[in-house]
Amino acid sequence: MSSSTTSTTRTEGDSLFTVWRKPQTRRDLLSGLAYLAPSMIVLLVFVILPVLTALFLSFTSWEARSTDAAFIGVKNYVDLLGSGELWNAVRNTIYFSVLKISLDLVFALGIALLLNQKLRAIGFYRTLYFLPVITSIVAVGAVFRVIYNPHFGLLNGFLGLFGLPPQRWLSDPNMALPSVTMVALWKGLGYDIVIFLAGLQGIPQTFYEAAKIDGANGWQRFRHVTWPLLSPVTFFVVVIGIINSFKVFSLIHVMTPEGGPLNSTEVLVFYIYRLAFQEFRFGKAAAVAFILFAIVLGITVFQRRVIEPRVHYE
Amino acid sequence: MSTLKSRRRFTKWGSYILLSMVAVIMAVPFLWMISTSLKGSQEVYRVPPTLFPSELHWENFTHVLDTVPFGRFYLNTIIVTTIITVSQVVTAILAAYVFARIPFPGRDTIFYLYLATLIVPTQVTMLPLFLLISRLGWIDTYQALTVPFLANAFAIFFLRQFFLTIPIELEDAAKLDGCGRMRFLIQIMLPLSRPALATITLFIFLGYWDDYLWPLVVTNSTDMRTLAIGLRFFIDESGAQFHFMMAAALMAVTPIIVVFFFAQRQFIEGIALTGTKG
Amino acid sequence: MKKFALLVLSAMLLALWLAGCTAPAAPESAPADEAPPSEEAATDSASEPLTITFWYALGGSRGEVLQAMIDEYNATNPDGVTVDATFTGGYGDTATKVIAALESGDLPNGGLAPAGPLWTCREGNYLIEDYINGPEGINMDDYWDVLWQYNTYEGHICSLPFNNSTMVMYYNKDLMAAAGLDPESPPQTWDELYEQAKAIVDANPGAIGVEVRGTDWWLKGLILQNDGQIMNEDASAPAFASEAGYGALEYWKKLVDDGLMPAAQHGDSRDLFLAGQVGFFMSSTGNIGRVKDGAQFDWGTAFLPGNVKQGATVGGAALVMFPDDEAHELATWRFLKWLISPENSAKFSAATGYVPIHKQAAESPEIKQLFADEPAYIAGFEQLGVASQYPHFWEMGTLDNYLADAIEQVELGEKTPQEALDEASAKLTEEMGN
Repeated sequence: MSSSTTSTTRTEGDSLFTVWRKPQTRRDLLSGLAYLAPSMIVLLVFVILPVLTALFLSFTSWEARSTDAAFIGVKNYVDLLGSGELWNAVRNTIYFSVLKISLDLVFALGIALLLNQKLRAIGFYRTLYFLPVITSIVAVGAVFRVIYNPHFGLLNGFLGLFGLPPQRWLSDPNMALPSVTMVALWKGLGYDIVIFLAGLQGIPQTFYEAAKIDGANGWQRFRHVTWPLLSPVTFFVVVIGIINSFKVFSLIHVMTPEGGPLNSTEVLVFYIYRLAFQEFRFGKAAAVAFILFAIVLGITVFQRRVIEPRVHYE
Repeated sequence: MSTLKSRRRFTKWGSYILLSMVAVIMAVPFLWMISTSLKGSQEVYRVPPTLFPSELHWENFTHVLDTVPFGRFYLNTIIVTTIITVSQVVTAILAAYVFARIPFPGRDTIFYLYLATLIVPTQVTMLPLFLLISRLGWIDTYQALTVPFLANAFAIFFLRQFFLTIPIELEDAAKLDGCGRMRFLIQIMLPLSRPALATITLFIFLGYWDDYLWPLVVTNSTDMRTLAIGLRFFIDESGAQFHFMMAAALMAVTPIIVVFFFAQRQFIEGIALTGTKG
Repeated sequence: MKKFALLVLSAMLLALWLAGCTAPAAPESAPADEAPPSEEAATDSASEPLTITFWYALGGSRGEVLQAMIDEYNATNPDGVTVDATFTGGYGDTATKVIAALESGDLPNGGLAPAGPLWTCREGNYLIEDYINGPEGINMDDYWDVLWQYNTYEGHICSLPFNNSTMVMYYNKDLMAAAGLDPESPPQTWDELYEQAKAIVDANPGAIGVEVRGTDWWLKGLILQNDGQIMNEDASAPAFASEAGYGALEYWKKLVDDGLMPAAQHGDSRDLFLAGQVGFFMSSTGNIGRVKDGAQFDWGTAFLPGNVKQGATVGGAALVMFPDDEAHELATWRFLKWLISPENSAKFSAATGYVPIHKQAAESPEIKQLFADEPAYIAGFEQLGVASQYPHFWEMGTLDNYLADAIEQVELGEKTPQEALDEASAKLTEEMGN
């Protein structure tokens, strides 16, 4: 099995100088930079530059007008790390991410496998499964508020059929976040289903045929053919899933515009939004954003170092 | 023999049933959108809400068209989203190829840098970016709506993963045949990545189609605005005028559904049947 | 090879396009007249007619009413001024846009924006005050005092009232009748509210006595009704952590503890009222339209029940103007003055349900007609007479958030009213000191 690092470590360890000396690797370096140039320029000017500006802002007391701003060093960070509000947001965000991603992986992959068959009208089904992704977020919020309504909602009605007591769902400090997470899961599933479908397409039939000849059953075929060959895609889904779930905002804002009972649905970006656009404290909001950044970067680095070597590339 | 066949039929029917049950859950809010778009203002605010409109108010759609310059918004949104999508796909192909197949010292660090651009929330970068756009004199122009998004690490990361699954032997063989990198990329790698390309094109398109906050902040004149802003017009202080909003949202989203339905048929089924990549 | 050349060619074209379109940086000082359509530009080159830019934060049917008024002004104003109006999203989005514009210098000439005083006086822009007192000024006494209080910042008048609302009590006549209460005499005091809500809950199983949409808004009303204040005179420090404040929140807690009002479930309050399950619903006059369309039962509106006295606060956006050359400023002022003239503001209120801002508005034919057709609008209007409001201050949004948090904590039994308000006050004081 060729590891992912074979083609990448050929010159990774070499210094720039050594690479430059050899014409082949020098050509690689130059081509590499040339191909990266277009995206690099755009990202540098329009993403990294604003990000650095925001980083600078996080060290000031910028409040909607730069004329108010004073350089206050790490005060924003110190205040935040000592405040219950920030940790509440961090806890909520982690809970949301873990719950959503774990369920998303299971369901998206499972459904993708089902949809990967050559059944009649399967295209119709695939479109249906993608509908939540494109359904207006306002519509989603409205419908699920009705479903979760403690008094006449469908969910409590359903529970009532089994004699279970009605829950307060979005109004209950303990249930609000899981309730919203389920909606987020529902809405994003179609996305990952499509990604997995694309990934499944990339697995050559020959592998399955060989496995069948060897007498492997469905589960074994999944474990030894599908899962490893799908791992680059799975890796993507997890990494992007974490990044995106840490940035979740709109859906939560639509379903619980006030941040949920006792701020139980206030995730990090919701907190940022509140600080920036309701209280106009941009410096502090920027600081929260960089705390978020540090956390996610840490997780991403961890994933690259620890998990990616186990991803099965060709 | 018969047990195998009946088992296969069982799994087939099992799949259908399972898929249908879940599909209902998936489709209900969308059906609600359709139902609401046809309700009259009396009925739309009734609580508990009715499932089907008691009368069909087709004029909701014409009202939307009269109230906001939908045609213009449509045009703007199509232009802007298409430019962004094409550009992101092209730049992503180039960049992903590097990250997958052209090693050099420092490449991994650059890849981290790219990934890092995805992490900072837009709420925080929006204001500095706005100031930059303003200094460039691009307020209220197509440039403001497109240039900052001509490249994006999401697409790059996505394509990188797919490119990495293509056997390196192919490239080695091509090199022996004297095939240059660019030619290999275009003539061999891309066709093999059709599902990935179709998927990422759809995702990028979707991602910017209903972008709301940035176009709002960066445009002032109605001529430059996009659909998402048009939709917002139907929310007032007391909440959304659901029937108009859903009518507008449906009109906005229909082309995407059509595109998706045909795209997934073209690219996904196409590959599976011909069994390339063997 | 051909494909590669094509790629390079497109890259070059892209670069050229980018370069060509980079205009010289917009000057920071003079707010640019944002891209008027070409027809306007042609008119501009003639001597007189000006174009002024105007941003408004009003969507839906009310936005349409405003747009129609703007069109009318464009067609009929004697100076031939054209108002180039843009919808800038809801309150939050408009605020974002204004902040961005303040920083970059791309401000419009005028606008209808939330928290107006914060974007003008706080920036040293006292244009509104200057023009009010200038040769083409207006008589402030013609308008409700509370509205001027609202549009004040640090002692200066910074914006004009236009679309304001206040909180009223909606009552469900059917539920009242079913509980043996007189549907035409809704409660006027805290005690009466308690009694009547209890009667409704006792007589109608599953019904809710009291609900509220905008918890902090009602609390502010309750504090005023208890003869307290929310902020001090010049809004430099909180004043709600007082006996009056504690009493108000105690009353709130009593309603919840005695089962008359649900705890921390107010997000669905309007839906519940529309479903006919709530006896008394505290909410903005802005919801009259919704209730009218959605309610399937008999209902009415009344003042918020008082205690020591009646009281309420107001909400809404404000008309602002930004510095430009004298011609544009004068044109903008004239337009704003036109908007708040007795006839036009009355027409606007009648069409949108916002409270009429002019004291004589009740005399206008439109308002008379409105009150005759929809008596529900009367309460909000008359309540202006007993309303009071603290001036704008920077941490207003924070105040609202802290009050809402305090209410939630008390409802869920996490804190006592005194603890909750003391904490909120301390936090706010700290924020304001920073």
